[in-house]
Amino acid sequence: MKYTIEQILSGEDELILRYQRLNTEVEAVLQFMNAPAKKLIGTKNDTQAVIDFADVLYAETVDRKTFIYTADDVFRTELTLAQLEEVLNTVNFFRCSKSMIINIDKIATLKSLASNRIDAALINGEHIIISRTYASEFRKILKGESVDE
Amino acid sequence: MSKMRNFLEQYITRKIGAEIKCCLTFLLILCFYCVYRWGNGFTEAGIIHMLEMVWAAYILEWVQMLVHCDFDEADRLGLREWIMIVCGSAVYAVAGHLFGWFDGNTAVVLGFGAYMIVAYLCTFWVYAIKRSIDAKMLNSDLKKFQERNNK
Repeated sequence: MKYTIEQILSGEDELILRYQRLNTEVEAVLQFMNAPAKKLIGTKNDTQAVIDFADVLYAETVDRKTFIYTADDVFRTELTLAQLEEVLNTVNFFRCSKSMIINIDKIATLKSLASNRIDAALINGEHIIISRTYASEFRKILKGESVDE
Repeated sequence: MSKMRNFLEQYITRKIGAEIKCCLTFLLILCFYCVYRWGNGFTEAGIIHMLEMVWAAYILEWVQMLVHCDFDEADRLGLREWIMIVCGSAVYAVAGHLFGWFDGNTAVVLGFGAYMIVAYLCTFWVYAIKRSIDAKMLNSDLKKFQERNNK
């Protein structure tokens, strides 16, 4: 992507992004531009939408495509789950499996399952299973303990 | 490296789980065996019998774990769990009969099988109570987390 930086002597600072198609690179810049506002860009039926971090219930990768789920909608994003994890780099979001990131604030109740797994019931009634690989880290986060990388 | 670490952690967790279950099952069998021996006027137990019990418990608990039949840790007692409980108890009863733990007394062997069914049910309930307490603690931690982050 070509970019131009220009210093101006008067007027308001401005950032203009010109693109033909929304791709990973463009979306990463958009995410960066929206970062202070804690917003994401998602697409639904070829229409772009701005999604508040606070509205995200969880994000999931299915067949190498990443989807963002809110209470009412599902949006596609060009970002990979790892890139999304970096963008959503707040304490509220937790990688609960290889293919999923969950918003802890949107969990209604938790249930302890056999083999140290955890069933998280979201506020919209959906259930997400946190496998034992991720469960111990999840417990530490809930307790506010630091987690080793 | 991280994958290897995860694999080792999972393996160790499963191994510890199997070892604990093996010890628990052995203690349950030994308890019945000792009461039987004591009831028949003996005050000592056979070392070979105890070794057989340990191996029977060890093999069965590992088989149970490897084929993902942790029926005593199931969320609810369904038909599959009942079948596994009855089959598991029957295997121990047959082992007891074959190894002569109860001097070939069929009535005692049958009583031992019934005792193992009750033991499995008690284990199931203990796990269920443990999970219920754990769920309470998890929900309490979740509430505190959400309050902390929404201040």
